[in-house]
Amino acid sequence: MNVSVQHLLKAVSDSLEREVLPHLESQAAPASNVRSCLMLLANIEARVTHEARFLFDDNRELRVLLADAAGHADILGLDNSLRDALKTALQDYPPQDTWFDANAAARENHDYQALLTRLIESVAGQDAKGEFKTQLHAYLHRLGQRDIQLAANALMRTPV
Amino acid sequence: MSSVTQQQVRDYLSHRLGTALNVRKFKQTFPGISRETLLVFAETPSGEPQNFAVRLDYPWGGSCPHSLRHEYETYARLWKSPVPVAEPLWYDAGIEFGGGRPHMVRRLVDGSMTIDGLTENSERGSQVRRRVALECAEKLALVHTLDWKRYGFDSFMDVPPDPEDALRFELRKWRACWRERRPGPYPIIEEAGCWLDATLPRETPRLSLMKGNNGIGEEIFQGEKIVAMSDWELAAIGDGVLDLSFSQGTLTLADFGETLRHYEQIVGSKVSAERLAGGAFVTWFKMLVLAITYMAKHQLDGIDSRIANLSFGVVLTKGIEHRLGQCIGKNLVDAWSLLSAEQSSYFREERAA
Repeated sequence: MNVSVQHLLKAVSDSLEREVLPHLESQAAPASNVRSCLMLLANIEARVTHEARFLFDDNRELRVLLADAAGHADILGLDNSLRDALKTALQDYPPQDTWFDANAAARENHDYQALLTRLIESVAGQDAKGEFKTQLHAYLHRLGQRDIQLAANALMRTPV
Repeated sequence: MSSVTQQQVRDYLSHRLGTALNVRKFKQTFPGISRETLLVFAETPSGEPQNFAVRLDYPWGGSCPHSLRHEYETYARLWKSPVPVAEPLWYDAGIEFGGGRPHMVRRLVDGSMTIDGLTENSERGSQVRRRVALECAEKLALVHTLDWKRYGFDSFMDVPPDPEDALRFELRKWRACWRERRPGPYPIIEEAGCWLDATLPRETPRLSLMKGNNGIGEEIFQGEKIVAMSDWELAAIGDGVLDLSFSQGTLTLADFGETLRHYEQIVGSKVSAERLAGGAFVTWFKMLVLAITYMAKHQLDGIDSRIANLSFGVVLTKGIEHRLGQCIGKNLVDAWSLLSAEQSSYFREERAA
């Protein structure tokens, strides 16, 4: 029998909530620690279920955004170091449309987001970069929506 | 568990005060996220009650950019002012007590952090919430109209060069902290900083002492009145409007419009929608910097293993990041209007007593 990760996480959460927490009513700090654990378990459950898909979608969007920035490096006024970093990252991580390794996707995502951070710093305060900014803001809007889906159940709980 | 024992605290306070104290009760406050605070209920040999709060840095320091000395100096000046605070007694560091950690000692004010009837789902509860919101607004107005130069706050606090740019000055301070300590890439926070820098209004009418986090859970009440404002660790000079969005749901306990008008009447100037919106977004930015670069980072770096650092620094921050992600690029007031409908109150019906 293959018991799902979701089932195991729910069993642990239920046990903490029903069998441990009621015994800690008079002990603020340990009770708070359990509540924090329950919040994190809810987050883990959502990530186990959805994060791979979200990383896949996010990486796909980031590749388009970063490739577009690389293609308009002159207009955006990017320095050579950032141009090279964009080129290297886009070569290192070719698009994947089939099964993929979630850990590798997380590393790819981290690298892309780090590059995006550099890009944001690089074009900060430049009003002329309207088109890139529009794309960037649309992406950030979707990123926030993806992230909140992973955190929504956890946010129903109190952290302390 | 406290890092110093009841006996160590008793011996230390007795030595400093020159009288043999008998400690009746000793407890550590909870949750103590930024620093360790010990409440000491003692009496002198003649039976006179003497109660103290002993506040210490953790071994790794505090969980905010300001030092404990900064907080002590704030108390020391406010004690001489009309703003109600507990009497600060001394600050010390590098001595045997607490393993040399910086610490301050102040008296405890008789009162409570909880308010009778506040969470009651009834007409009486509604009235209590209204009066508490107005009381908090009044006390914030008192802080914001304080003559901070007269009390010497500019001798240890950074002062924005121009009142008009006070919101931007505060934002830039926290962006610098973010750049120095960010534990990884966070594009929403990065772009939010750029967006705010470009859009914050330039209309702060006066520079004020700002409290930082305020409201229920921070102040000491007797009945529905504040008798001491506590937790001044984030105090700074800037635009007081920032405090209106850092009340942790207290100013929105009742009709926020009425509470705001009450505040405006006391400070003597209107607060525009642009300032309110700007203050709210800068406060969110500050909250993210605190939760990520201190709480989450301390946990990830193995400095402070408390699990709450992750529930705050990894999960709760996603709620704020999501809201910012919806707003970036929009007109400030439009963005704020979009979100103010979901503005949270300390009181929630489902949790009512």
